[in-house]
Amino acid sequence: MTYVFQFFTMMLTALFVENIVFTRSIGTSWMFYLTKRPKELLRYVLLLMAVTTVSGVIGYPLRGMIYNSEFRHVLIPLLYIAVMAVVYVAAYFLIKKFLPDQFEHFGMTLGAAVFNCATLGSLLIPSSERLDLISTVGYGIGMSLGFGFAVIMVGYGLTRLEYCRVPKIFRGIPIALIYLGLLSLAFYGLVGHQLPT
Amino acid sequence: MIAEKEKNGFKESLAYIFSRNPVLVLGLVIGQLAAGDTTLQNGVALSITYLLITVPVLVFASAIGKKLPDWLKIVCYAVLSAAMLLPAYFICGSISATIFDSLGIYPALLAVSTVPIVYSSKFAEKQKPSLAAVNGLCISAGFAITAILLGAAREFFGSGSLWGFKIAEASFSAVKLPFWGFILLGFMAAIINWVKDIIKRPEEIPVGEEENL
Repeated sequence: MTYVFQFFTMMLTALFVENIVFTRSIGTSWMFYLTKRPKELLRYVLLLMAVTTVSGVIGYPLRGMIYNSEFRHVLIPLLYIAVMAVVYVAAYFLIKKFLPDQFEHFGMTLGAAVFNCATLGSLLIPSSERLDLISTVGYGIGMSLGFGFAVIMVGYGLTRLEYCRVPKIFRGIPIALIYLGLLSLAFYGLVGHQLPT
Repeated sequence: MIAEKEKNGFKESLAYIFSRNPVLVLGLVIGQLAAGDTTLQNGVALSITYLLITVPVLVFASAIGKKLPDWLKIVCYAVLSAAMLLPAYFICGSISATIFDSLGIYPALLAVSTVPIVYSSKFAEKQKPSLAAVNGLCISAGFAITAILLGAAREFFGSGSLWGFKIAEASFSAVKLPFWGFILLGFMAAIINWVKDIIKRPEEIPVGEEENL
């Protein structure tokens, strides 16, 4: 029961309190890409969740060996990218063989869907905070759901902004970034933070 | 003909510095800057890391990418990017011994950013290694200009210092939080649009119709 509680606590923390996009600002480029392709969102969130969970479980016993290394800032990302590579190759051939329709949908973007900042960030944060296995898995799943949640929130806002009279020089990336900043500030306050004085 | 095409390619690469800036116009690598680029030193360290990752990966993709099977390409690009963090770690260590500690996970995230992973397989593979290298340099220069300006502004307004030296009493530490990073980047992107608009305007207005504006 304690493990279940720990799992859900970490998942909700990653989903709301430490949202991958609004709090950590990880995966924003990928998020902007997905806001224009809402039909692909569920597939990508599921893939992100699967890769994060499997890579987190495989990487967990290995990362302990390099925690205290002087080069941990390089070795831990290298370890996780190597693990993600193994997971990617396995996913590539499994999807190609058993889900050829899905493979066609992904095409060349399968690699980009696996190797992106959201996936690596979901693995590096639990590692840098030295979370145990249950928390690592819970955090990874929460981060993936949080990423999907952020795509929906930002995508909805950007759609509404298209109907607003935005000054010419602010159209496109500028207004999207300012909107993301304000949403991020709102989240910062919502979870109980206070601005430093 | 080929030489002219190549010349045009080099000319187009220069656009990545300003009019096709990877961060402010193309909307790439935003997160690492919004959260990690809080001081001038961090900006310089992120720029060095990005340069050391981008150029070798694009050149590798251009020289060898086509010969690799589809499933292996992206794996090679990602592993090479991550391996380039090691020289970046040593070079950035000369700025400050704890720079990678203060940057946290953000330099590592540069290794899986869009340019080394997606751009390499979509564009660099079709280019000559020399053009891919120039593209990498220009993309890195565009990134560096943004990172250095943003880092300097946030350090100055956040703690009244530049490169660690106190030069003013200003202290607005909230500017170092990620949401301010997004907002400042948004305004910087708007400035780019404004400048591009000013440069383009004389061409767009037919001669003799200026009065109607």
